[in-house]
Amino acid sequence: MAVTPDALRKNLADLYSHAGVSGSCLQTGSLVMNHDLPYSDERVANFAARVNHLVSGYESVDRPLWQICAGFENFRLLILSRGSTRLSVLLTPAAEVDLVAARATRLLMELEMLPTPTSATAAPPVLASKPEAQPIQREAEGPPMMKRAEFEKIVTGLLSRVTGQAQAAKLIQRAMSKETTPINGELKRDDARRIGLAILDYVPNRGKRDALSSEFLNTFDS
Amino acid sequence: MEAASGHAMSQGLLSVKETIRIRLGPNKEIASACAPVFEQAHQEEARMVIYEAGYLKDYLDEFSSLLMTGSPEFVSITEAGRQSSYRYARNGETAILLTLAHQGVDQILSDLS
Repeated sequence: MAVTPDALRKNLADLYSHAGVSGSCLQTGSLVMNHDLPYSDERVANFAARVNHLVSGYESVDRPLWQICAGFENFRLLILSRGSTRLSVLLTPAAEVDLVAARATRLLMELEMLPTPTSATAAPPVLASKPEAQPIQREAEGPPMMKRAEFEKIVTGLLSRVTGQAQAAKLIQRAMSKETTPINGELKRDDARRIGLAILDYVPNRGKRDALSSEFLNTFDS
Repeated sequence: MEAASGHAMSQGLLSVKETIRIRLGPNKEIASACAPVFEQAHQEEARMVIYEAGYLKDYLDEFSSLLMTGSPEFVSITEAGRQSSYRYARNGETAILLTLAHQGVDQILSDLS
């Protein structure tokens, strides 16, 4: 499985849009490809090894598992498996497990379909790293300029999910005022992308921040 | 420990009844179960299912320790043509539900209560 950080971020954003998703761990076999569980990498590696052992145990007796859903006192744990890829998602009890499971399954399928990057442009696989907001490099960019109103609409729409509209407007205004080049009716797309990500960086919850950043990039580049 | 073999599954308990329920007492003895569980032809599979309850519980205990999630309460595993769900009570009793149809977690928990 070849997973670029951008592709992974896009897919995880969808998953994190659900309330109650506390963290996830993506692994190939026992190898952790990406996780944002609130534990040390060593502990997560140990967890991933046990997950792989469990799923492989069933596979070895011709019982390939699609999904494991485990309930604990304080959390629920969803483990999805497709080929040698496993995705574990830690959820709060209030989360809608079945909805998250459907999204997570789709995520696994999409990861499976991702093209292998060519050697010249290949990004390294993500190894036990957190999805960080980075600009997505696209071959075909849209027009070089973007209307400020359009930009603000996108960012406000995203921020309004986690904060009030007044607060969102204030954040945007503050970010704009920091720019050395005055922004009037239009701004460069590159600047808009950079400013948008900087604004979303104020979202305190890492999962939500990553999800919103990814959605921003998706919207921005579509 | 190994996972319970799928050898007997296709012609097993779920081929005679779409939903199978088993309740185990604290010592893993069958407290109650659907009629097919007691049929001679399904004894081996029934033993496997009971074994699987303990097998999965061991993993849940490990996950609980690693992720600090609290005591295990239930687990449901979904595979082609079968969903096996186990609910672990604090007093050591276990409720088991096997279904042909894949159900949502809320439905499973409702059926297992």
